[in-house]
Amino acid sequence: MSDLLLVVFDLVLLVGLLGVAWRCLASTDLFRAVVLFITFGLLLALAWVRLEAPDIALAEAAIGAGITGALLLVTLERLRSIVVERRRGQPDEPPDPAGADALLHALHDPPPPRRTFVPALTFALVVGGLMVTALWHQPDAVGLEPVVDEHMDVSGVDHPITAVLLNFRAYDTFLELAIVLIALLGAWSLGRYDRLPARPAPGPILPGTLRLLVPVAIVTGVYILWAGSHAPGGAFQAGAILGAAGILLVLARPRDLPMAPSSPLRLGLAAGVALFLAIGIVGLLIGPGLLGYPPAWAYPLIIVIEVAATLSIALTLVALFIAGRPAGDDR
Amino acid sequence: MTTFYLVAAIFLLATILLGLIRVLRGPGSGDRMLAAQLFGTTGVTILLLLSMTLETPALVDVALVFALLAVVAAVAFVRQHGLPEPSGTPIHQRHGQKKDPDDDR
Amino acid sequence: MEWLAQQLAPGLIYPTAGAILFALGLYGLIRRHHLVLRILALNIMGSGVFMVLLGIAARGEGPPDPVAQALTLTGIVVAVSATAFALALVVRLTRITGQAVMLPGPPDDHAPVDDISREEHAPSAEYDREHRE
Repeated sequence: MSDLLLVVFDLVLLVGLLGVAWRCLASTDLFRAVVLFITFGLLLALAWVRLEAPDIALAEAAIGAGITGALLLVTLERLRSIVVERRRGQPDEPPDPAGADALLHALHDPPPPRRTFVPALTFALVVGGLMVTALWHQPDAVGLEPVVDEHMDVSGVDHPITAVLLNFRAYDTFLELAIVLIALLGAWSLGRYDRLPARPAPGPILPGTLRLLVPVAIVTGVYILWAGSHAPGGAFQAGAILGAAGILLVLARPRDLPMAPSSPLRLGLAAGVALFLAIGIVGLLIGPGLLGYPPAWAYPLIIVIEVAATLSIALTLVALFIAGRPAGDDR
Repeated sequence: MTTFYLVAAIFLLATILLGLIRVLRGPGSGDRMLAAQLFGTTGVTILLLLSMTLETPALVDVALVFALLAVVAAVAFVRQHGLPEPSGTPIHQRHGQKKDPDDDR
Repeated sequence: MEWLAQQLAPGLIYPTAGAILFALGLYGLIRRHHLVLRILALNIMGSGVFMVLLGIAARGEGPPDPVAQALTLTGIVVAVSATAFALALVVRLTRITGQAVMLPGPPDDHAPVDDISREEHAPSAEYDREHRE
């Protein structure tokens, strides 16, 4: 009975996911698309739970529900205010090349032209059909689970995913930290940050909520980091939660962001990659190879790397949310 | 008991799908955002029910994170759609540029 | 009933739904013009890929494959940073051209450009003349 109910749950969930994704991509109103995308993230977290992946669900809850939604909403408001400003038209500027419809286009996308319908549909159907066929005919395999299980005792931690991320496949994690840092460098190369478009808080509820929530979020983030060595949790999830807490702080005082001092900020942003690389090179010099640890030292080294990675990921996510170098920092 | 939890979870999931009507129809931005926030609350409940059904205690942590961070999008929304802009405020200003043009160099 | 529940195991229907999500995102990516919508489409495609990976990892008896889950976790964090960077690029493009869409053809040289970096770093006309000789 409960097997059948789980199947019903899966089917309802997947129909909802596909429907939300479809309506999101078919929206002409961008705000509606963004709200639907936030809903999509929530349903996705439930799907990860059903696929026995609580770690992914944790990351999706922090990133999908929190960070991406806020990021998209702020971006829409930025686009709107840019177009409003251009439309207001300073007299000494030439007329706007975007034309009179620019404001309409800022937050609306007209329905696509009919001529792209058939090619796009054909292409998507072929790709999707090929993928579905391949997946249905794929033979069942055990995967790498037994291999990981066999080596758990030399990994230094008790949670298989943390062991894979920070020991067995440390390359992935190291390069991933580097990519996150490069994304931030890319955003910073676009110039100094613009003020977040923000209106005054209506009443005392917002500051009060933030005052209560941010400390709880920080404690939760540290707890998730600590839990990572033996249960679902770890550096990515903790970094995402702390990053969301930082975004809450940014949203609390968007008009006058406290300027982070330049060198500690940069040090914190690079800490994850730098420490990971340093420990990896030491591993190369004393024996076990690049990004390998001596088994006796694995646990403390993993903890040190995780703390640094959490700090870097959290800081980078906040910096990416602000988008742009801190002011007065480019000389 | 497991069956009851599962039926409740399916029911809550169905209410999310029903609530999507409010997101799709609107009419206002506030209606859409409020519906999405309610989905967050429902999602926390579904996660807790699933944690009982699937006997995965770690899902309680997921529900906790959800409950905490669903507010981030709401705060971002309130910041932008809250009160009308006070008159005379430049909506969009490069940081510090208007105040001190020499700051750049 | 038992047979149906076996046929619709998570290891089969979730990868299928992931493939459909990927195709749906691809369709949206091709047809929609607004860059924010295109970024959403890319994210939906990515979610489809993650769903295929995790669905395959959850197949069979026993605990799921931790390597696939670790890869997905890495992928989610990379996806969110890439999304943030892409959104910053869209904001920048809108500031320069006034529209958040890909414009056909090369950019119009006569369009007003309020790009401080170009103004500041462009060599002056004198510099240009000296070095051309």
